[in-house]
Amino acid sequence: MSDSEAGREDARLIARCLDGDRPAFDLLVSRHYRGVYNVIYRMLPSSDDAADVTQEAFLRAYTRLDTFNLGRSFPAWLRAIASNLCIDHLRRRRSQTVSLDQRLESGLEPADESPDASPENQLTVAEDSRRVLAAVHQLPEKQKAVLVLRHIEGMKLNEIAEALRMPVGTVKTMLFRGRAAVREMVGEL
Amino acid sequence: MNCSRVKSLLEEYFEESLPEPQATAVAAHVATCTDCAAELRQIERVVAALAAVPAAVPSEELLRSITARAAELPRPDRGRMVWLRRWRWAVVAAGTGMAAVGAAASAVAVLVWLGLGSHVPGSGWVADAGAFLRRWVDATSGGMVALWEQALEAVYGLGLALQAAAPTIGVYVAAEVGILLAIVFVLRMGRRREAVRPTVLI
Ligand SMILES: [Zn+2]
Repeated sequence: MSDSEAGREDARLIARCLDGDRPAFDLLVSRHYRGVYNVIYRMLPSSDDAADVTQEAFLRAYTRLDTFNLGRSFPAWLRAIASNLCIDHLRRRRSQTVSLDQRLESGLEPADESPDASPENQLTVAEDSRRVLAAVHQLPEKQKAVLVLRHIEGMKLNEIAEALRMPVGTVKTMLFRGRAAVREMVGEL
Repeated sequence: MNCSRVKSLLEEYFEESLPEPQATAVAAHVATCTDCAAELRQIERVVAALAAVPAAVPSEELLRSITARAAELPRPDRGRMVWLRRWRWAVVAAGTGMAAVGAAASAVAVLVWLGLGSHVPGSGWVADAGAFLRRWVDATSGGMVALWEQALEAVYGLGLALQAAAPTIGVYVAAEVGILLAIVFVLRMGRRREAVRPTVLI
């Protein structure tokens, strides 16, 4: 299915959903939950948190579906909701007792531990990717979001700016600072 | 360009957003300096490592739990008066515009009415106010008087028509009050929606 076909199918399902056809939403979830989960999973260090926030993102999208502008990309809208929820989640957590840094340093939660349930996760992530991801996890929330959206999700700077509601210049600054900090942390690759 | 200057520009250079002639200067430096070239390679490797991060696979259980939870929520609908929400600034602008036009028309009508007061017999306090205004203008503006007279003559015809329609000024006022109330209502509704919307929506 091409992007535009996929977009039209999303629009059809959203319209059905707004007409009271709830199973249409289940189809939307099944089309997009993997993508949304990935954005979130790369920003949060644990798969349990990622699953919780993925659920929260979809429920939020569901209750606000009437505010979605059908002329826009539904996956981009979901990713915007997801990354902002992650930023909120990380901020909340930073203000709680155990900081993310402490958890990572104490090895309680490896930076890239895939969910146990699926066989794909038994695959070992390339060592470079693992080290870089571990460093990304230690960045401040917004820098982390920018790096994940830019390099893992492959979004453009202006798309990121729109999703995170910040000027493109700020996105660039965060991207550069984030990458510099990651280089500093990982050393030679 | 020295090494520390080049290194401070490498991220921007890598993103291909460094303007000329700096981009050329950085390229030239990197071509000959192994230290800076190594740092640029480091950026490339970090980005490549992120691009190579394999997709994580969520459990099927997640899909089931999302749809089960969604089923417990009230169904979304197209939203009552969703168009009003979407176009609320247009509605406010149109209302404000109408109110402004109404106010301007009322002002012209009142002005003409007051100005013509002395020509119109039997207008009571309006005529007195008009005569006072004319005396005041005559006394204070000197050379402006001729202009004032001409202006009055020019709108005399319009004035007569407006005078006939003078009672409609009351209607203007009522309509404007109505429009203002409508604007307040729309803005309040917009704010209420804003309050329940997450900050993330676009
Ligand atoms: Zn150099």
